[in-house]
Amino acid sequence: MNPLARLTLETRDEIQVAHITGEVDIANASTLESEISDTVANTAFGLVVDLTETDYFDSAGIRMLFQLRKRLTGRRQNLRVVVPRDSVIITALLVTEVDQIIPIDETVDESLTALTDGDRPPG
Amino acid sequence: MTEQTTHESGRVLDPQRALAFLAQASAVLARSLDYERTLAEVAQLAVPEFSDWCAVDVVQPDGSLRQISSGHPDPRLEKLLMELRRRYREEKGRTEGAMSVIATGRAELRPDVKDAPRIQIPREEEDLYDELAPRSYMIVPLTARGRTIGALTFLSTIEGRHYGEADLDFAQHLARRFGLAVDNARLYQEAQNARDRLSFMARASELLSASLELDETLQQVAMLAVSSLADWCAIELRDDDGTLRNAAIAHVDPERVRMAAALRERYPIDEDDPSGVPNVIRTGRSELYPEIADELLVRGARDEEHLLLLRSVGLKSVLIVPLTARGRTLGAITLVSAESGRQYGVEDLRFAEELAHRAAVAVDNSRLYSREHNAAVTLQQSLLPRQLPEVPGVEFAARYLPATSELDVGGDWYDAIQLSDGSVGVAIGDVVGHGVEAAAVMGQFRNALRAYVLDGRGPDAAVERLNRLTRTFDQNDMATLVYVVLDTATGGFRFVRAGHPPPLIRDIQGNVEQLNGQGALPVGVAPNVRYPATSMKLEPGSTLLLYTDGLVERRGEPLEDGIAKLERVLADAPEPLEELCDHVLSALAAEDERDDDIALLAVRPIELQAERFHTTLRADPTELSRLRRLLMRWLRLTQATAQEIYDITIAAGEACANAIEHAYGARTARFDVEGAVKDGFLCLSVRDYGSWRAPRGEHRGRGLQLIEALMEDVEIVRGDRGTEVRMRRRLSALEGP
Repeated sequence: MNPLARLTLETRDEIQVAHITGEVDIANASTLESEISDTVANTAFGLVVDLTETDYFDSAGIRMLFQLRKRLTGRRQNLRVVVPRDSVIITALLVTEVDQIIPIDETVDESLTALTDGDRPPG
Repeated sequence: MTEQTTHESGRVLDPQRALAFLAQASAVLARSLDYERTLAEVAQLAVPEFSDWCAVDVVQPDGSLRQISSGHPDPRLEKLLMELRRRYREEKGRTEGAMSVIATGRAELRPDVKDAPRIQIPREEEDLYDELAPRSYMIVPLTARGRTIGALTFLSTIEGRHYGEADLDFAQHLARRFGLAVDNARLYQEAQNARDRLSFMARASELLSASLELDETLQQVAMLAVSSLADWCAIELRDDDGTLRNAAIAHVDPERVRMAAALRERYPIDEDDPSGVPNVIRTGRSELYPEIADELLVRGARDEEHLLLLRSVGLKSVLIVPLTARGRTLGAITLVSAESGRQYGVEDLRFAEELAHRAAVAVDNSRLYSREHNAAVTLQQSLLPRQLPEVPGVEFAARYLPATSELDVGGDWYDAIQLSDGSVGVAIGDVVGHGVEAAAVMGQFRNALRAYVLDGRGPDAAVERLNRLTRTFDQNDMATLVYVVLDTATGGFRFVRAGHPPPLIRDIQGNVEQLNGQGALPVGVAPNVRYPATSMKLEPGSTLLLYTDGLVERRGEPLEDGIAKLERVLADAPEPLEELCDHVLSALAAEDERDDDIALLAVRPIELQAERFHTTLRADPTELSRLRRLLMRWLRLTQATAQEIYDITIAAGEACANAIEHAYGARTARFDVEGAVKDGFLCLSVRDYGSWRAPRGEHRGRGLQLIEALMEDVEIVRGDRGTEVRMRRRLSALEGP
């Protein structure tokens, strides 16, 4: 059986980048969440969740993003999400107003720049 | 009663005392059901009133004798007594003494030791023997439930205390009570042991299945063993290059683990040792050393220091069992009893063997699944299709299970190929042979067949070409196969069967039928063989099941019986195709020991019309991805745009997730998804049969929010028998001008 999604992790400029390829739903969201949050070092500057190669992302995925943000904010770390504008999954993120709380960028580089330019965690 | 003449002597116990003694003995024995304690108490009870020294011999399940004595106050004399008994057993065991009493069930009375058959007493022991001054003895069978379970020996060393017939009667009476008490304690202990063992095995199985990290798993097993079975435990594995390696070591006392490990490290196992671990691994046969005599240590020690170390371990009893799985011995488990003084017997041996077998299967699995150890499985799996094509109007499900032994892996394949004329080719095959080579040949067969059918050849021509090609291969490569070309529009299909078990069809009523067609030889057997195709029809909803012989072949059973069994299993299999495959496998494929690969391919034409969609799903999160694929495939038939397809799929997914998360507890529950295109709208309904609970938690409401944002009309209908979420969205392509 092919797993629903593949998670690739890399560290760039002390920022954890998590690329999710495939689909995210209630079957795998919480596993992904713990796999991602376990890799974010205390010393990391922040986390970028890259959904460029994600084909399906529903409320379970959105819940995952909010949980990740909650954990990061506790450690004064920032979260940014990458979704290209032409991706089919963008609508679901916009109608649930995820972008009001978690900044969404078009590319990983944009996220990295925003993070290193030091936007502070809200609150 | 005995063959001895009655000696002129008074009774050792007068009748009054004897009765009181019996009552007292019964009371003592009734107190305990503990086997060891019962034996010790039996040995002690008669001393000193009735006897000066008493021994209990109990027959062990393996036929050996377990002896317990009351003990002599003088340790030198105790040692002498035990030594005399041993020699006596060796020299005269067959005709006299406890062994003979047990064998015949007849008691032995020696009113005067002087009249008894004697064994040679070495001169240096004569003084000691005189000091012991045996006067008279008797040996009576210990009986219980009609069986002789051992013997009781009473010895008198008091001058003038000689046993007579009356004493013998009393002793036999005593022995019957003792026998019953001993046997009860034994039965109780066996029951207790069985319970302990069951829970031990359950724990072991749990440990063994929890992890595929080999050494870690074995360390857990060793720790488990020392928790109840041994004082220390070592596990040796034979690595691929043949060398022995200590994989785990454990000791009841963690402090002593270091000592045990040091011993193994300092004096590694000699691989040429004719006994011990190397021998157990070589022969696959266990070794049991119920008692470790010092001379065994002396013989086994490599030097003075080694002997010193061995002695300091305080070995009492040792058990070495092979780690054997699927006919191969992968290593050995050594169990040592030391501080606990426990003596291993046959029952322990059986138990340890069972534990070792389970551990061995885990070891083998872990090797099987670690890539570097199994080229064949890796190659095989890389050569099978990663994904079956998405063909409108047809559902597929496939399974491949490698044989459990590395050597038997390889050669089975399945394939589904979308052809340019809208039909679909499905194949299943089995290359003769096993291992990496068969896997590689399988890859050739699969690709060659693909190439021929993509070239536009029909099934007969394609298989004929394949046969001709095979004749040019280097070795005598052969394969059996079934190849089917299915017209997805009409359900008509043509198939060729080349030496392969017949595919099965299950219709929507559940009737199962074999597709024998015009069978022909396997490919690669003979040149210029004709492979005629047979034409048939597959109704929508019917299932075509292709499989390889690993599914139906059982040693010593005709193939027909296996196929007949598969027919029955298929008839009862659940409707959803993935579940159907799982059901068939769980009914027919052994989980831990498979001699052969198993491949399975299920094909079902579905009525797929742009107007309607319907599917039934299990209330299980893993079903969601399947639903999405089915739904997207249908949505593509409608005129929905890519974004519409995605949005509708999300909305449906959310409704289904809700059905799964909130409306159900049991994963066996089902729910329905229906779709239709009506008046320019795409309408969807998700209906469950559970009790609705309002979404809870701060994020849980988001699913509903998504549905409402992505669809135009959403309606939630809660009825007595479940909940239905109805929603629709206008499709832009269907909008009027």
